Amino acid sequence: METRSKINNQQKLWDRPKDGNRTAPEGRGKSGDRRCGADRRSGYGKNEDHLLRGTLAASASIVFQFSRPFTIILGYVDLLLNKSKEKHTKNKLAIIKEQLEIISEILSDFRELDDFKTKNFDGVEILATKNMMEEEAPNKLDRKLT
Amino acid sequence: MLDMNNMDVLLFDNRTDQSLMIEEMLKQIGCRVSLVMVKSDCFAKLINGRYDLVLFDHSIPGLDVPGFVNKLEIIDRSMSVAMMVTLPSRFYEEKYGCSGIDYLIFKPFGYEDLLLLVREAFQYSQGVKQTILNKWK
Repeated sequence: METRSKINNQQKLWDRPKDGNRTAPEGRGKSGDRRCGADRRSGYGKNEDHLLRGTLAASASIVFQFSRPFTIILGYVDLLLNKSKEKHTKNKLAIIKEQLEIISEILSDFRELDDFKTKNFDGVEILATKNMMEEEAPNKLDRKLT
Repeated sequence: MLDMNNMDVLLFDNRTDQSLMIEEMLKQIGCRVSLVMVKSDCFAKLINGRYDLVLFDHSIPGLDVPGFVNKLEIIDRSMSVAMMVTLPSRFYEEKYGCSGIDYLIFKPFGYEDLLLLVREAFQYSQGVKQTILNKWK
């Protein structure tokens, strides 16, 4: 008897309707739905929370590790700029300072990150920061290749 | 126009490379700078002399920031306190919003940022001093 009832149960599992009607007659809500009540739209789920938390931790880590060396470099460039009298050296130091200020802005964007947004760069998903969105305009220092 | 030549700054930082650079910048701005690398030296300096600004680094290992700032306030209330920071601003607002830190300076910073901080700290310090003097009159 026992064996037979087991076989019957197995058959019941295999006996699924073939024409795609798999919904429970009284609806999922009443029949022990496995899903939680949280909103599952994109940007509202658990996965997005984890992504945002991971991103915030990574960005804070980048800012934390990079800030001190860049402070020292930027500080000494400023000191050299103030002391230097040679025009040629001053121009080059000014370019270095300009680039350091760009890095400083990028770090500031990472610091104030509060949203998880990505941007497609040649098929690779990269983190979209405010600075990156405004970067579309060409740099005036870029050389013309044509 | 403020005359920063009278401004005394106490710089507390345990990293030699960073502190030497900041010390040089502060001197170029026109401040008199005392550099300390240990907390006990910092308090010893504060007890023996008056400073307009204390600038310290948040990343000093083992530094209890609220306790340190409380002690600074007990020693001299009119002195400005600035902290060099790296993390997102929301973190500091939540954690140290109610402490006695007057200024946060975000790394990386350059000469102009430091000049701005020193100017504001000097104005603040002078303002508080004036208020205290007026109360005594």
